[in-house]
Amino acid sequence: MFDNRKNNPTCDFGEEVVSYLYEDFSDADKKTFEDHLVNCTNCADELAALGFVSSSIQDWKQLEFNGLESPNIKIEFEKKTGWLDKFNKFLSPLILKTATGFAAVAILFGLGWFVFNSLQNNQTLETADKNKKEDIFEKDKEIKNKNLPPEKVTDINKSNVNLTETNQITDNSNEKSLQKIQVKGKNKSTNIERKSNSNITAQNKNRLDNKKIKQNSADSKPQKTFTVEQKPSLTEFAVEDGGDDNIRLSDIFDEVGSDR
Amino acid sequence: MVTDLTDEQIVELAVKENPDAFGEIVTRWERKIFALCFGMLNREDEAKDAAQETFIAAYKNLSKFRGDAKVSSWLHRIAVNQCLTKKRREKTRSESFLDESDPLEQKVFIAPKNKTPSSLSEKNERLQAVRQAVNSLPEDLKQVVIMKEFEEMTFQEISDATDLPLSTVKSRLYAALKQLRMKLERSSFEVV
Repeated sequence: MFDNRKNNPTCDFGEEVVSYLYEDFSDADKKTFEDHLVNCTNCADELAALGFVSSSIQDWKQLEFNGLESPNIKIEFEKKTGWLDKFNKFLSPLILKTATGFAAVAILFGLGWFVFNSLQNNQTLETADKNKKEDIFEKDKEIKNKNLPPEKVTDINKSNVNLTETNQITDNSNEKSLQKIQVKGKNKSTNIERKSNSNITAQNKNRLDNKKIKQNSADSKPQKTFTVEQKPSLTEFAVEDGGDDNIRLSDIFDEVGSDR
Repeated sequence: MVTDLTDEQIVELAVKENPDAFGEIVTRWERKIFALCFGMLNREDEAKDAAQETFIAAYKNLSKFRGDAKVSSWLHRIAVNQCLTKKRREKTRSESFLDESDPLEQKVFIAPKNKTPSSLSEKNERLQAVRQAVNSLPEDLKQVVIMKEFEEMTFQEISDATDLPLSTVKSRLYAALKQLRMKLERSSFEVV
């Protein structure tokens, strides 16, 4: 049975009763309150009654709660994502697959186009080279047939072949270069003009000038003016030092002289 | 090690780097939160649901957690709110059920509970009386009683969890116990 007596209105130790009941006192405070309990029956009774309530709640907890298993709490933790993951998440898988497909096709198309273009360029270059060679040989043939004996023609052809190979490396500026050789008969005034052939060395020019001087000094008699105007292949002058254009030029001059 | 960190440090870690760290918070507090929910709802399944929802709500709102508050008080506040929401729903459901039910059944349903069958032991009667008395407490008093008795928290912990001064916690607990005493006196008098 619970005690129905009213609390003593003069005794205001409610919080202390609770603190003592749940052992939330320091040792000093505990002793002080215990001293008070000896002299205050109201507080002592209240402590007993509240202790009974507390133990009843503990019994209830013991009976109904302590035997229960803790809940198996499941939380789906989200993983931290980078910008790429967020971007991928933003794009649905279908769109992502489609985009990947398009990208692959575009790359393949680009590669194919590149390969096709390079093949075509090679073919064009080969055709251009062939044509160039043919032109050179035709011109050389013409020169050979008209002006030179067979053995000299052979020499020129040989050197032309070599120089054509060199020409494949040099750029198209060589094609546009014009060469003009003017040989004036018995006055032996030889004038060689060449335009924009960077491969002709200064040494070649000196050689030509020397020839002109030799010719002038050799022939004292005035002779008929004989002009040979031709367009030899530029390769004749595209020879570096050590080439055989000296021989060729002298041959040409000799030939011109003999014809006369 | 996550286990060496304080609750607040773990939450910070979970927010900034590793969400999995929140699992440690669950491990530390699930039993106490379950006890609180059980004390407030008196039903195992409801209490488990409320505890689960408490931690899920906490995890979803991790970024809103203020660093100046304690994780324990934050969790308890969420748990108390979850329990109150459940009770409100339950109350609405039972009221609508009573409205729709047959008057004859109503009579049977609302038969006084203190007239328990004589086959029940006296202890069980007392426990049922305690449960009813606790349930009839005002929410602010009930919360403190459950935290102290069911969760076995210290006064300081309750103070942190409820954001109440220590003296207020003690005075509320004192008031709650006094009310329970009176309720139990009445019920035991009627039972006897």
